[in-house]
This record gives sequence, structure tokens and C-alpha cells, in this order.
Amino acid sequence: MHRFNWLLIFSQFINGLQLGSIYALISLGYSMVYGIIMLLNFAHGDIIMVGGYIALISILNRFGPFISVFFAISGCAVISVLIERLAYRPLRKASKTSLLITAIGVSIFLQNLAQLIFSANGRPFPASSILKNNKMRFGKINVNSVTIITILISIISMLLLVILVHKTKLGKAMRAVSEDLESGQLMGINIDKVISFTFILGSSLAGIASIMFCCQYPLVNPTMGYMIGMKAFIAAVLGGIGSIPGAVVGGFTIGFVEIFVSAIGFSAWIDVAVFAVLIIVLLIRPFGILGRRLTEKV
Amino acid sequence: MKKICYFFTLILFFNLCGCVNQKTDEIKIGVLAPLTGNLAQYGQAVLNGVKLYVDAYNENGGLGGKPIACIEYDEEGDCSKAIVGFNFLVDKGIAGLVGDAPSVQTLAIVDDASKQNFPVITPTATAVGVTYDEEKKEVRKNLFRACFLDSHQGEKMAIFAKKELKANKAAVLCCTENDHSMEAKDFFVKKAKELGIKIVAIESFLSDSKDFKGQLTNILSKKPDCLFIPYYYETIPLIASQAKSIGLSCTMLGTDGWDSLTSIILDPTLFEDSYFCSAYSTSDPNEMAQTFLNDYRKKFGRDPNTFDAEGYDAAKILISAIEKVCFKKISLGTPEFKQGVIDAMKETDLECVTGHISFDEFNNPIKNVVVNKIVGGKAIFCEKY
Repeated sequence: MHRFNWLLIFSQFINGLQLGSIYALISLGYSMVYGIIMLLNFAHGDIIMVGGYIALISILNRFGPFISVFFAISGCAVISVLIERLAYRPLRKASKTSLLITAIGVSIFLQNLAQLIFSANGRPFPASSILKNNKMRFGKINVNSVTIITILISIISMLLLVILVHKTKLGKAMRAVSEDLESGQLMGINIDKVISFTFILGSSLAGIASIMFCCQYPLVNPTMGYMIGMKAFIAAVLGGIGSIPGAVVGGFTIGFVEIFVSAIGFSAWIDVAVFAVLIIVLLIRPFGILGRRLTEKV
Repeated sequence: MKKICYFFTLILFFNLCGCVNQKTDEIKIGVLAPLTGNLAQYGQAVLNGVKLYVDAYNENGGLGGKPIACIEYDEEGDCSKAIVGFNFLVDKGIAGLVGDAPSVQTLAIVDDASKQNFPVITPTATAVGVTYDEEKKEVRKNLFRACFLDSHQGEKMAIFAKKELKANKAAVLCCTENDHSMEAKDFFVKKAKELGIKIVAIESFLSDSKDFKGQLTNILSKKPDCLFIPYYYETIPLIASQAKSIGLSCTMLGTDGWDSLTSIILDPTLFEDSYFCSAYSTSDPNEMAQTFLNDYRKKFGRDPNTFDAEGYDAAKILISAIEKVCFKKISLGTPEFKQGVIDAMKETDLECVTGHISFDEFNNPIKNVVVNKIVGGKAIFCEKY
């Protein structure tokens, strides 16, 4: 009986890939914002929730799938630019701690606002009106089309992001600012513009992730962003916060760890395993898997 | 502390004074429930159920010509207010108490109630500790409940799986952070093994989990005939859609946590031929259940839920017990009266809205569960077990 069940292993591999790709998309947003202004943007997870509700409302109002997705992604971008403008920009000269606490405050604000508007009850998400869930069979394995599309879209978005950061002028500016904000400013880079752009980029990815997330897990509630945001944050730290490839590696690592733990029958220990992996990696490499060692500037 | 003692003595004194002038031509029962706040929907439902029974009872002539008066106390979902409320109601001279509705608040009053040997029936509190003192390892003789326990549901669903579904292999998916889920799981597994059903997989998740594919893929590889998921309705569509996406298509079984599930189903094909048990179903053809349904609709303009039905039954059990004692001409408020009501409740053997009720040695009701089948996204009454 103790024969390797390759079918089972392959299915679980696909599951891990799909979960990891969502984590990767979200942790990119954490990582980019941290890279630019050294802010742990805890409101990032709640942007997922905002995207989910915008998509839900647009679909219920009979906008087509493409327009709903567009609304969700641009809605996420607009909200996060607003947050940056109203909450983070006035505090740019303040201490890092004040910024961090403000980010937590924004997160709580968004959750409670959503509760006020939509009530605390979860609402089912009409996933099939965005992506039809077709069963695909590879030999003996059932894979659904949403899973494949999630993985593909995540990979395409990540590739586009890499091109954008490394091949365009704006990307160059972003990299320069993340290297040294003040010198960048002296070189004539419009800091405000770059920071806003980073927020737009990060939250658009979060918007895409929220659509993928809601299609896989068709339930929208005001606190849905909290746990997934937490996991994505762990992924970003694990991969090396501030590093784009690091966020992707971290995201997939967390996804695979979670699925592996539940595949061997310890599903109640998922969170323990995730945090244990984080602690172990940070003990060995305190700056994350792909992070750069940074010396504090004096 | 002293001041509080004085305060209560003062209240007690005024109440004693009040007793002298008390109208003796009505019999009071108390309802203690959260009527405002987070848990208001439970409390209001219970109160509606009690009122419906009491009003109907009074219309039919009351207790030997005396009407029953229902005194309500809103504890706002707060344990200390529940204790204050309990003492307030007792001081008002109630003959028995229906309450509290949620488990936590009920646990707050059980010690006081036990000390006074006061007859209490909770309509909806499922915690074991309500009727069983876990420290002293003895049954609280004066406390009863109208609702069944999670363990009861687990056992009944195992019997259902064996008898109706002819299941040979069953799997369980439960939440380790949730008492309801774990207790139902334990008793389902125990009963299933007794009946010869093989439990091929027991998988678990955490209460904020969204991804169940790892667990479901494991379950799929064991090819069970049915999958028991004792958890709350919001999460069930997530599990069902992921089960479908990995190709798991066995019959799903649930507990009363699934009660509101049908209100959020978007894709009925996910739940075709799933079953869940509950205490009450509006489509129960039983005559008493139908009368209750019609009366409730007439009075409140909407359909009753399980809490309404359990409030109604609790009131019925309590008042029937008081009735028996009053016929024995024992005067109200004496220890003999209280003991009489408790004894009468213990001997309950009544046809109620949620089924025939009698009490076991732990003062939990012995009654059938309603098994509902989900057809086309709607819960249809299927069987009583």
C-alpha cells in the first residue's frame, strides 16, 4: 500500500502552485512599497477586500466581466493612491513607527468601513460570471480552468512587472528611489510621482489577486483581507522584503508549505508551519531568501 | 462590596413589600435573553416564540382561569447583566425561567440558579456545562434545555448515513478551533464506527481558512461515499466549490450550522443531494409544526426559524410543568413549588414543534432531528431521525 501516489502528489503540486501564485501577487505589493518608502503597508491586505467588494457590486449591477474586473483593479489603485495621499504623505518626515501605526489604523478603518456599508456577514461571490469553471482532465487528474488561469495570469503579471521595473524610465526611477530616496530627489526625480506610481502598481496587482482570490474562494467579507494579507506579508519577509523576485519566491514557498502540511494530514498546523518556516529562514538568513544585506545609514 | 449588598437588600426589601400588593390572579414566567446588541437576533427570536405560546395559552383560558404573564429582561449579551437579570426576575416572583439564550450567558447564571434550586429551561444554549456541573461531576437537576446538543447531531447524521445512504466509507472535514464542529465530529465518528461505516479520512481546518484543496485532495484519494462537514454556512460554499473543482462528488452531510446556507447558494449544482440536520424545518408536515408556522406568520409576518421554535417549545415545557404543580395546590414561591416544577419538567413527555420531547438523565432532550435535503438550492424536509 505504501506506493507513492503520483496522482495525489501532482494534484497537490497544482494546488500549491495556485495558492502560491495568489500569495506572490499580493506580497509583491508589500515588497515594492517597502522598497520605496520603508513602510510596512498593513492596509495592503484590505485592498484585496476592497477589490472583492467592487467586483461583487459591479457584477450585481450587471456590468460585464471585463468591465467588473477593470473596475475592481482601478478601484484598488484609486483607493490606495488616496490612502497614500491622505494618510502616508503627511507623515513622510515622521518616524517609521508613526507610519507603521498609521498603516495599521488604515487597515482597521477599511475593515470597519466595509462592515458599516456591507454588514459583517459574508456575501457569496458570483465567480462563474467572471470565469467559467470548466473541468479539464489530464489523464486521470482533474484540474479546473480557474486554477490554470490563476497561475497563468499571476506569472504574466509578474513578468510584466519585471519588464516595467527594469526596462522603462519610470522603473529606473523607482529603483533609484529605493536605493536612496534623497539622492534620487537631488537627481531630479519627482518623488511624489514615483511613490504614487508604486502604490498604483502594487494595488493593481492586489486588484488582480483579489479577482483571482474571489474566483477560487467565492466569499467576500470585510475581514477577508486580514489573514491573506498577513500570509503575503510573511511571504514578502521570507523572500527578502524590498526584493521583487524575493516576493515571488516567498509567495510560492508559503503556498507550497501550506499545501504540503495539509497534504500530510496536519491541516490544523498550517499556520504553525508557516511561521516556523519564517523563523527558521530568518535565523539562517536574517534578510530573507533573496534580500540584500543592508547596513543602516548613519 | 458592602454598598452593593445594601443595595440589593434594599431592592429585595422593596420587592417583598411589593409582594403584599401583588396581583394574585396571574402567574409569571421570566424570559432572559439578549434583546439588543450583537446577539439580539437570537434573543428576539426566542422571545417571539415564548410570546406566541403564552398568548395562545391565555386565549385558551390560561391556567385554570389565571393568565400567564411573561416578564422579559434584556441582558444585552452581557454575562454580568444576565446575573442581575436572573435575580431581578426571581425577585419579581416568576414561577420559572426561560433563558438564557446563548451558551456563555446561560453558563453565567447556572450557579445562582442551582443555589436557589430554581427551575430554568434554556431554549438554545448548547454548552454541556449548562445542565452538567463539570467541576462537581453532577447533573444540575434544576436546569433543562429544549435544544439538542452537537453530539446528538453527529450521532443522528451517522445513523442517517448508514440507513438512508447505505454508506460504507465516510470522511469528515471539521474545524479544530470550533467546539460545535469538534463535538459533532467526535460523535459522528464514534457512532459511524459502531454502525460499521469505515471512516477513511478525518481532515481539519482552522476557522479563518479559505483554502481546503489540500484536505479535499486527500479525501478524494480515499474515495468516500459521504463527507460530513459540521461547520457554519458561510464556509460551506467555499468547501463545496473547491470539492467540485478537484472532482470530489460524494454526498455532503452537515449539521444545523448549515441552517442559513440556502440563503447564500449561488450555484445549486454544488449542493445537489446534500443533506443537513436541523431542529426545525418550515416544511415539516407535522400538524403541530404547521400550526406553529401559520400562527407565527400571522403574528409576526415572516417565517420562524429554529430559535423561534425552540423558544416556543421551552415555554410549552415550562408552562406545562407549572400547570401540573398548580393543580396540586402548592402555593407559589415556596421551595416545594420550585421542586415540583423541576420534577414535573423532568417527567416531560410532550409533543412539541421541534418533535416529541422527553429528558434524559443529563436533562438534555431526547428528540428527533429533522434531516433536510438540498434540492435546486432549497432545503426540503426529508426525514425525521
